[in-house]
Amino acid sequence: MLLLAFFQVTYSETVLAKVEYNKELFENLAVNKNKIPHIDIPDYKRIEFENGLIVYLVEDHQLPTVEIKGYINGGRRQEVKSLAGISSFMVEMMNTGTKHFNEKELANYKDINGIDFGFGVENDYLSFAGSALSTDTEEIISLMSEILQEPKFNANYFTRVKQELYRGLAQAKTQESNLLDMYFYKNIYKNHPYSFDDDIDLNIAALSNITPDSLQRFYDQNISPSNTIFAIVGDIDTKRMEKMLNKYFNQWGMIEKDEKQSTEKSKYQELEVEIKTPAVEIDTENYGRVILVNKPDATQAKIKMGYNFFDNNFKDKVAFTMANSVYGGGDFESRLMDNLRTKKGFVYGISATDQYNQLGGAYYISTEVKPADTYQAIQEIKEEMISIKNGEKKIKEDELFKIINLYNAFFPKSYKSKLSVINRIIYNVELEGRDVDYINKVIKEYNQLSATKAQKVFTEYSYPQRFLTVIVGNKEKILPKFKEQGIDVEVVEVK
Amino acid sequence: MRKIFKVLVLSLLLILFGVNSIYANQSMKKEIFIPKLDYSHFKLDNGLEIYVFEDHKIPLAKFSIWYKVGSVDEPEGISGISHLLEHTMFLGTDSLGKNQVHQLVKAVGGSNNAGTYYDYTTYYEEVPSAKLELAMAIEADRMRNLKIDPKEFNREKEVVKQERRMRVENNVFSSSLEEIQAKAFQESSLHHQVIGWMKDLDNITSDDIRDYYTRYYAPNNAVMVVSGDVNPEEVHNLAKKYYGSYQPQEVKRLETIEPEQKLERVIKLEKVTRVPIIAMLYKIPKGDHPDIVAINALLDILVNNSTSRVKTELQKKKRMILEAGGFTVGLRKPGYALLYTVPISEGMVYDVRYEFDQELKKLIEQGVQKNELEIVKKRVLKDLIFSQKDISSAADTVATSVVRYNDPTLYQKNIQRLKNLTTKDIIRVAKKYFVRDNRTIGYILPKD
Repeated sequence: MLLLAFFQVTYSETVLAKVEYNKELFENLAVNKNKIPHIDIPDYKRIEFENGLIVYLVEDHQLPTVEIKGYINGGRRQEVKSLAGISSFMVEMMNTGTKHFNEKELANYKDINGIDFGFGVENDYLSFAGSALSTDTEEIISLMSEILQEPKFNANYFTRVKQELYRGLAQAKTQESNLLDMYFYKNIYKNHPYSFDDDIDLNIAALSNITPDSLQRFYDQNISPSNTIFAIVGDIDTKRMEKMLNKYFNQWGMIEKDEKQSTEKSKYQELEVEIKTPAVEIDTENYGRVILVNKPDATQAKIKMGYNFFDNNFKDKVAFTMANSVYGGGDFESRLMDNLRTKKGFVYGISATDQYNQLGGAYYISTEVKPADTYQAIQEIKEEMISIKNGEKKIKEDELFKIINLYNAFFPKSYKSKLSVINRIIYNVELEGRDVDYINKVIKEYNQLSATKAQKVFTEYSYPQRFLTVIVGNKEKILPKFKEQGIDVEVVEVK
Repeated sequence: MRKIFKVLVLSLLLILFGVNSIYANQSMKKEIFIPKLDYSHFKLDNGLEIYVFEDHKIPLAKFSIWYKVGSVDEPEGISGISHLLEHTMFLGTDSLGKNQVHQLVKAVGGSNNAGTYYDYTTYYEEVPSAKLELAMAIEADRMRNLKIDPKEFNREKEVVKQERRMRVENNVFSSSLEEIQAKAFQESSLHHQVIGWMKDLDNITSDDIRDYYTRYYAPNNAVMVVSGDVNPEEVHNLAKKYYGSYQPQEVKRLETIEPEQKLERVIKLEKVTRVPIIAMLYKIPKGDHPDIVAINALLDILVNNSTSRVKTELQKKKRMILEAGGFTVGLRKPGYALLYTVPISEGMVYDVRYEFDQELKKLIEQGVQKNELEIVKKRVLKDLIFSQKDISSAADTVATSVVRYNDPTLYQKNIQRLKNLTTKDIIRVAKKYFVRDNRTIGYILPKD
C-alpha cells in the first residue's frame, strides 16, 4: 500500500512538473525531414464519346456526394479586342437560363435540388464545376447537359445582365487593385487577349458591341464537345453513370435528322474548335518604367512590379518556383518578408509570383505600403533580388530545405481528395499534353533540387533591370521621394 | 476523464424524410447515408479543455489554441488590444527569439497563423503529425512566458496600423461597416471593430499589453483543439506534460450592456464608389439562441438564395438592384444580422429601401411557402455533409461553440432545431427582430 501511495505521489508530481523551456528543447523538437510524398492516382475510367467529349469517372463512396470539374479548351485567347470580355458574358448567360428553362425555372431547379454550378474564365480555358448530394445525381447531370448544350442568348434578361456587368466594371474603376492590374497587364501583354480581362476601359467599350447574335456566334465557334473535358467524382456507379452520360451527351453536336431520309442520324456537325495562338509581344520600352495611377483618396500605395515571363513549357519551372519561394514565397522567412515586414515594418504582406500561361507568362511582386515609403520599398525589393542574383546573399541549403520540406508536408494535403487528384490529371493530360503521373514527377524533381541549382536558376531567370512598376495611390504623397531621386514617373489621372 | 462524443445525426435522416417528400415521384432514389463525427474530450484540473478529432488519411496534424478573448472584451480607449496582443505573441518568449515560432514551424515543414475575432483569439500550427509535440510546446511557452520588448512592440504596432489602413480605411465596405456598427452599438463593445480605432492603437502601451495578456491568457480561459493524424491519448499526455502545471486564474470580464434600441437609426456615408450600397443592421440574440436557426433561414429566403424574394423581385423583375445578400454575426454576446442590397444607381436608393421593406412585409403577412423552407433545409443538409470532407473545418465548428458558449453540442441542437423548423418560426423571428425600430441603416453613397 505504501509503495502504491509512493508511486501515485511520484506519478502526480511527474505529470505536473514544469517543463524547462530553452533553446535546446525547441531545437530538438524541430528536427524533422518529411518523407517524399507519392500521390496515389485513383482508379478512373476515361471515356471518349463519338462527338469528342472526354469524361473521367471516379467512384468515391466516403460521403453521399457527387462533384464535377470540367474544362473547355480556349478561354480568353479566343477573344478579339472589339469583343473583349465576351467569354465572361457568355458563361453568365449560359448559367442564367437556357432554351428549356427560363431564369426563374433554372434558379428554382438548382435551389430545390441543392445543386451548385458555375463557370470560370481563364486565359487558356473556361472551367466549370458543380456539386450535389448523390440522391440528386441525375438532376445535376441533366442540368449540366442543358446548360452546356442549350444556351439562350436572346433572352429577356440579356439587357439586365449587360447592365450588371457594366455597373461592375464601373465600380472596378474605383478600386485600387483593379486599377493596379489594369495598368500592369495592359502594358505587359499589350494588345494580346491576356490583357483583356483586366483592361476595364476596353471591357466597357466592348460591352456595347456584344449582342445576343455575337454571343451565339462566339458560343458556336468556341464551345463544342470536342474541346470539352470533365470529371465526375463521388458516390456513383461507373456503369450506370456511363449510361446516363450517353443519354445526355451523346447527341451533343449531332446534325438534325433529315425528315426526307429514312436513315438514322449518324453525323455530327463540324465540331473542331480552332484554338488561337496569338504570340505575346514583349515591349522593351517597359524596362525600368514607373507608372503612378493617381488616386487621391487612397490611404495606401499599392505596388505591382514585374515583367514578361515564360510559358507553361518553361523547362526550369519547378526549380525556379522553389528558388523564388526563398526570395518571395509570402511566408515570414522569405527574403522579402524578412526585410520589408520583420525588419522595417513597411508591409503587412509581400510576395513574388511566377505566373504561366500557354502562350507566355508574367512575373511580379505585389504589396502595399504607406505612401511615403513607396520609393524605399521598391528599392528594397530590387536590392533583395540583386543580392541573390549577384551571389552576395546566395540561396542557402537550409533555406531551400525548409521550402522542400514544407512542400513535402503539404502536397499530400493539396491532393487529399480524389477530386483534387483527378482534376489535376485532366488538366495536365487533356489540356497540357502531360502524362498522368506528372504530379509525382514534379515532386521528384523538386526533391532533387540543390541550393546550387536553385541559385543558378534564380540568377539566370531574374531580371531586376526589366521591372515595369505600377503604383496606385495619392501622387502628392508618393511623388516627392521619386523626384528627389531623379526618377521619371508617368502619372495617370483616372477618368 | 476521456469521453467520446458522437454527434447523433439520425435526426438528419428525419430532415431528409421531410425533404424527400418532394421527390415522391422519382423512383430509384438512393438513401443518403450520413457518417458520424467522432471526437475525444479531456479536461485538465486547471480548466484547459481539449478536443481531439482523428483523421488518419494523411500524416498531418492541426493544433490550435482558442482563447476566450476578443474585441468584445475591450473597453473604449484600448480597442484593438486583443488583435495587437495576437501580433505581439510572435515577438518571442523568454526562450524563443522574435519570429522564431515561424522558423521552427517552417523547419519541420509546417505552417502557422493566428486570428482575432470579436469574441476569441486563436493560434494554430499545421505540422507533420510526428511533430505535434513542437506545436504543443510552442503554444504552452507562449501562454506563460511571453516577452514584451517595448521597442519591438512599438514596431509591431506600426504593422498593425498598416493592416488597419489596408483592411479598413482603404476599403469602401469595411470602413462603412465600422461606422454603421458604431452607430448601431453605442454602449457595448461592439461599438468598435476587431482592428480597433487608430487613436487607441496609438495609445496602447506595452504595459497595457502585459496586463491584458496576464488577465486572459490562462488555461481555464482556453480550449485546445487537435485534428488530423493524431492519437487522443498521446494528445492528452502531451497536454498534461506542457500545460498541467499551469494554474488557472480568475478572469474578470468587461460587462457592457447595449440598451434596447427604440428607434431606427440612419447614417449616410459618402465614399469613393460608383454604385451605392444599402447596409441594414438588425440586432439579434447571442449565437446559441434557439432563434438563430430561423433567422438564418429567413435571410436565405429573403436575400441569399438565387430564388430569394429580394433577388427575384428587385433584381430580376424590377431591375432595381445588382446584388443582395445577408449574414449573421453570432457571438457570446448579442450580435447582429447584416443585410445589404446594391441599387443600380444612387437615384434608386430610397425606392430600393422601400421595396425591400415591402418584401419583408409581404413575407410576414402572406407567409413562407413550403418549398422555400425545403430549399433551406436541403441547403443546410448539403453543407453539413460537404463540411465532413475536411475534419479541421468540423473541428473548428465545435471549437467555436465551446469557446463561445461552453457547449460542444450546439451543432446537434441546431440540427434538431432545423429539423423542427416551420414556416411559422420564420415569420415569428421576422416580426420580432426585423423591425424598423431594431434597425440601423447605412446608406453608402458615391462621393460625387
